[in-house]
Amino acid sequence: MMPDLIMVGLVVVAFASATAYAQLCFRVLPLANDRDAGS
Amino acid sequence: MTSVGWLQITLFAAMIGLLTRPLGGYLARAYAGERTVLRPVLGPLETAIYRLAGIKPEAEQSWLQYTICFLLFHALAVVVLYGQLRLQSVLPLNPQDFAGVAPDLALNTAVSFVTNTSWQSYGGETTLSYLSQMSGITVHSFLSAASGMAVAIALIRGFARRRASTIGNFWVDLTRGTLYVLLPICVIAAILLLAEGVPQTLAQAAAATTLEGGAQAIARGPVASQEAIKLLSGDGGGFFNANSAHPFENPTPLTNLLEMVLIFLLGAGLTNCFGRMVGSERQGWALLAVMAILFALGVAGLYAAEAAGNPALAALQADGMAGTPAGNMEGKEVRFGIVASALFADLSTASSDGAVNSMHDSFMPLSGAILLANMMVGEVIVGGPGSGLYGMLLFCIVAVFLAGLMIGRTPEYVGKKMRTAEVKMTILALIAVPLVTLGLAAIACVVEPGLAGLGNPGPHGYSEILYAYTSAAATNGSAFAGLSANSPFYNLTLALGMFAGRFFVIVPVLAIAGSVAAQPVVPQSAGSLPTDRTLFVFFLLGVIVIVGGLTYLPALALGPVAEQLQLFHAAH
Repeated sequence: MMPDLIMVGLVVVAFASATAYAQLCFRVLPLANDRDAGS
Repeated sequence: MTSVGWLQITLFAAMIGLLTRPLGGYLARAYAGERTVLRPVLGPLETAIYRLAGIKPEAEQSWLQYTICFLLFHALAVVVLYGQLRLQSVLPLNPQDFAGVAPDLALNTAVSFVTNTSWQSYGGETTLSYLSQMSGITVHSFLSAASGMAVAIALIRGFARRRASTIGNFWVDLTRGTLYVLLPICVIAAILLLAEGVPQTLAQAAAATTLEGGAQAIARGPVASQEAIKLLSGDGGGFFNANSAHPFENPTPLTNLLEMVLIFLLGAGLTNCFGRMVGSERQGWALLAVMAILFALGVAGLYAAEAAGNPALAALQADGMAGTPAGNMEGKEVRFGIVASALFADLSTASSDGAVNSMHDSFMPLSGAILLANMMVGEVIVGGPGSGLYGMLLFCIVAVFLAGLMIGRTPEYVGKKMRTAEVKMTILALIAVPLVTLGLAAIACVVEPGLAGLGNPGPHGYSEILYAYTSAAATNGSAFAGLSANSPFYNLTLALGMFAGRFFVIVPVLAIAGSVAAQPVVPQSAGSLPTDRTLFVFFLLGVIVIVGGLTYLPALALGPVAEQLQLFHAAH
């Protein structure tokens, strides 16, 4: 049981990090859009 | 090398060339929800799925919503497949009474098939029940391919739309890709494979008595249905450990040709789909031309190296008969020979499929370098369904960015400006795979659990490790063999490689889709770089080769290049 909990925990951490990465990308994009819109 | 060999390669290339345009048109119509030949039959089923799942097909999503749905779906898929593999001993359709899969192997396998990699640290016929093969492996081959195509379609929509805040609906794209594209082609392919002798049964392994009187269990199962999607999906996970080298997976030269066409079919078709959706088929043909040149270079190199054989054996006059070199037949099926093995290996690594009809570990070192290079350039030589196209579009952004730097102009691609945000996301996507590949391979080369899996010393052993992580992070799934990868260390680190290689590329790709969708279309002017001309084809080609070379050449020099030099040294 404990190995299964560890493995599922790893999956949760991995996908949480990917979701956080997406949020980070989201924060980068609008700033860049405003700054470069006229170039 | 023989003229018949070149004829086989030409026949294959011609078939892909002929199928690209009609398939591209079909894909564009299917994803747009327009009328296709299959809509009257499958339309009601599509509607029923939406009703059952509570999906509103007309409700489109922003790129972030699309990404979150994509990630949630895959997280759930990993957990479900993991649970199924762990519990297979108490689930039905397990006539061989296989035990539940070990935790680290189950995690590796679940991540592998959900990410469209199909790295297999197990032998299918000795590990998985029929239920695990059918509802685990096969189902996720469909879903992972459909989700990869969904990402590519979302990115194309980004380029095609003007001032849009949405890039489609992930659930709709997933459903349409599965229903209208993958299922129909797989049904036809499975029937053709059945007709050629591929088994499809739920009966347990056949018992046979050998000539010496020993007992032998001949594994069989629902192979044809898995084989079709294994190749079409770019997944490559075989029912048997020997994959397409096994006569039950790939019994005849005809099935071999069919399998090769299936591997490249969707990747090629999507380039035309891209061209149609952005309003210029020439844009799609330009991408396919780059892929075709890289493919031709790879297959020519492989065929030449394998036909020439081992120089050390030739020096001993132990290669071939009566002064005629037999080439390198080690690890190859006699019924396929050198050319069909070299072509299949090139396709398998150029796409993200990873199926094998010969053992890559036994190829000449130079061939091994080509197989590695195919994966290292990001599997953009047609690539997997969706992943090949969005990988190639990332390189297009880099190419127009570099061209823009040369002339001091904001780069544009198919009418969209490539600004700081898009270039940043492109670099994030392109750097993820080499970072994981080289980082994990370096760790495996110096820690005890990594070295414990080696089957060979020296440069070849290093190549085995490098190949494993390259294959995982590129979501290819083919193995160099020789490496004992079914250990907690390899199962977990390869799972990490597959995860990062898939999701840390797709997140920035979808971000680019959202960013370019929000832009207006810039009209073409005299200062615009034409991206559908020969000049751009060769410029893009140069960018791919230079970026790939700068990133990976030192790693290749330590493995296959050093090994090839050792062979030359032994021959003289």
